[in-house]
Amino acid sequence: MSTSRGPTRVLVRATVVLGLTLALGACGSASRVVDKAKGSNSQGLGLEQRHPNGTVLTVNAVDFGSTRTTVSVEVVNGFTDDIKLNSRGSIYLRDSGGRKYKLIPPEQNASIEVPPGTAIRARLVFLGGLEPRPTSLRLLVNAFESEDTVDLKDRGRTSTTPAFQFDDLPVR
Amino acid sequence: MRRSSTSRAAAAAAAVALLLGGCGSSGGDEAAQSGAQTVSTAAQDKSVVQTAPPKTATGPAAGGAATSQPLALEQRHPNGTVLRLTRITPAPTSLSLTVEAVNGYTGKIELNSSGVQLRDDVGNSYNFVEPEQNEDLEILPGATLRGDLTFLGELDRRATSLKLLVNASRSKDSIDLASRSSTTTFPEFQFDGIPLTR
Repeated sequence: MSTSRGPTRVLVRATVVLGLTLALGACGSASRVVDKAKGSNSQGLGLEQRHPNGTVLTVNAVDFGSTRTTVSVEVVNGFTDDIKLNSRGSIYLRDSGGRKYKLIPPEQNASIEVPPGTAIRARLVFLGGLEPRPTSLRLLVNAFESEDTVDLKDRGRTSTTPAFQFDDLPVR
Repeated sequence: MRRSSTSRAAAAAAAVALLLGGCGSSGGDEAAQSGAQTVSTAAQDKSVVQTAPPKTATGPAAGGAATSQPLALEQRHPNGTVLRLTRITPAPTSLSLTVEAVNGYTGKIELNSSGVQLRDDVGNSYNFVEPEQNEDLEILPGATLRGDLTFLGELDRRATSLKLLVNASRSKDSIDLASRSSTTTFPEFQFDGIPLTR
């Protein structure tokens, strides 16, 4: 019944995450001008949204080409499980005229899966140039294509397919 | 499931990093000028995912504090447990709190019986990663637990302080300190105003 068990030491270490920041030297900037003639390159946007599950999605650039529109993003997975940004082939752009632009999925990671506690950068290329130039452009992530919007109040803290909606991508 | 997934993080990230190849090459400018656009810009027409390099303090999404800060916060629970926060270490995609907990109760206690919550002062939550070896943060009577509690996510750059809730479910925003029992084996704690200096 003695209470003097001595200073037993329990070492707890939730070792995670660090160490994944290697790589990449040469690929420094993920965003590039796709078609210099068309230009209209919007760098350093820093449009950031946070999902209730801890995911942070930042849109850094939008590039307009004659046949492609490119959106450069950064994703931090703050959830405790893998997340997918393109779980149902559900990333697309929609312009003010109602026209949709489909994502060409990345060959190496088509569902854009991000492990917990890691960050990725992605250059998302969408099929089609913006003609005629719309007045606004919306990025939808993990959205139902039939709806063209995300119910922001309905997003779960334990979702592994976090949904986002950016209404304010520049189109100049 | 959760633990195995978390432990796969580094390996998976490394794998992603390997896939990139020549993402920055491709001489698209020359191609546009020479009219050989179709062939030469092909690489630019593909979506690419790569592991993000470490953020710098001046980057657009730097998140803020990148340096470890000492803390000297201590609380005592009516059951005899003492919990100290001794250091906070923000990283680009996670944050660690170094803690020391002394179980002064006569029975075994758990600090993660119902959850450990970390919130910032602008409304964000950061998900706790349960340690694989001791997911309930169990401490024997008279024993001391030392270690780093890791929370995932990118610290909001607007945040100036954090709140830690121990033995609290996700839905809880505070703990009723007056109702804490001297015989509980799940001692609850609430640390407000853990400072974040940038």
